[in-house]
Amino acid sequence: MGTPAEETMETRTVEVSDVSGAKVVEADVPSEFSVAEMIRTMVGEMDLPVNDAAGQPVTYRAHLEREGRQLLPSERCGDILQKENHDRITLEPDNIDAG
Amino acid sequence: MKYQFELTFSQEDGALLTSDSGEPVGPIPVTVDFDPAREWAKFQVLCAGRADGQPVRAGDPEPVWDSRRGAPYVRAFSITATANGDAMACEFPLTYFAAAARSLSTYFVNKGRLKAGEIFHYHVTSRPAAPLTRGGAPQKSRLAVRRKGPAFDVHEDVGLDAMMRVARPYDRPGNDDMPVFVPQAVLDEVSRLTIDAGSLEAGGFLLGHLHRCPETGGLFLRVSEQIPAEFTQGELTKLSFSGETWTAARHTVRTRGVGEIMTGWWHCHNYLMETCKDCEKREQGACKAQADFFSQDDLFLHRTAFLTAFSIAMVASNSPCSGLTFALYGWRQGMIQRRGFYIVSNHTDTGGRDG
Repeated sequence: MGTPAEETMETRTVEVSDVSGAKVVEADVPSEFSVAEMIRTMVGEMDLPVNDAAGQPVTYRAHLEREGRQLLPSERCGDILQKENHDRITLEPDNIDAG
Repeated sequence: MKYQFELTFSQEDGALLTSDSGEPVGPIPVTVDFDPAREWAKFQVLCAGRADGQPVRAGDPEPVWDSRRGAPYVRAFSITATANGDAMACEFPLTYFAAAARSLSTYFVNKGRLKAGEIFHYHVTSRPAAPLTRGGAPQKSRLAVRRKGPAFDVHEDVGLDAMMRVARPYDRPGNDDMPVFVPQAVLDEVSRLTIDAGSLEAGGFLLGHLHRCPETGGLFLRVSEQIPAEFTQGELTKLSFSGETWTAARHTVRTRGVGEIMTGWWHCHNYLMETCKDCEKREQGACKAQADFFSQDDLFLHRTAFLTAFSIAMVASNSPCSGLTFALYGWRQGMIQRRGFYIVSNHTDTGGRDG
């Protein structure tokens, strides 16, 4: 039997930071990923808090520095992220309270 | 993680906590947030001048065995941080597990094993973490991820002595904490915004620079400005930050263009202006109520948004009885502690807004 064909996957290399700037990673994101999938995966990879002090889920949004905007969860990474120059994304918690 | 940490509880008299059958309860594996400790270990490398702009990486916590009882009893844990091929181990006290112990104690109170308010002791043990079985192995991420270090410029244009000459201590700054200098003008603005907020919470961000004294090599933080937090919702006991809050703050920092970093944040606890306004004790002058504490929500926000070990948080408290007071909080060995700082009231030769 032959060996399985190698899977080639187009990716976009992006620098992702948490809002504190303490955690910065470079990630090769599959082009077919939605922004929601990227956020979900990166929150796990970067060990960001997923529940607040009351145990409620923390929602993260992806801010694309180049365009100065929040990315929509349904957008496709391959459509919005640059191929050559690495984009920078900040994962921002959307609903966090001080008290 | 190579090691798993566990807690065993005993009552004040030393008797181990037991179950209904009389068997000792525990040791109980605990999941602890070690990221603040990793950041502290990395910061020690920066303090020692060993990072030089290179990424600093921190490993997993490892037990430091109790020299009298030996493994599995732990007297501390250590994390090794590396930069430029140079490794530095940093030790952390067992008080790091206090939050986990308190959380578990609530469970034991609910189960009747402890009484509410009862004093208890916890002991920390550790053993190698069990290898993940096939079913428990994490799914391979579809992303290839490479860790990078944060980029923090450390300025060497002003000495610590020069700063101390024009600063006065507030809240007894200790020798173990990296000095933090806050201009009087920044405190005045925080005061104004706190008073303007009435009985509601308000907040903002503290911008500044990290410095290394050219003479001593020691690090210190110099706050230069506060910017109000936009797109927030202030209530009597809550201040809600949205995603736009962080975007707007980063935009302001970039627009200012003077190489500042977000060194921390501030917010005010003003609810006493409402709850104490008709209080008899206030009329008698018999109350000194303040609200400059750091709540669990504040802890969570600080850990989420200000994880770097030199980050600070200021709490302003306004009350009819005590007036306006300030408290500064910061990381110390991976735990948030109240700490002192210095108020700069005179303009220094090095420029910047001091006083």
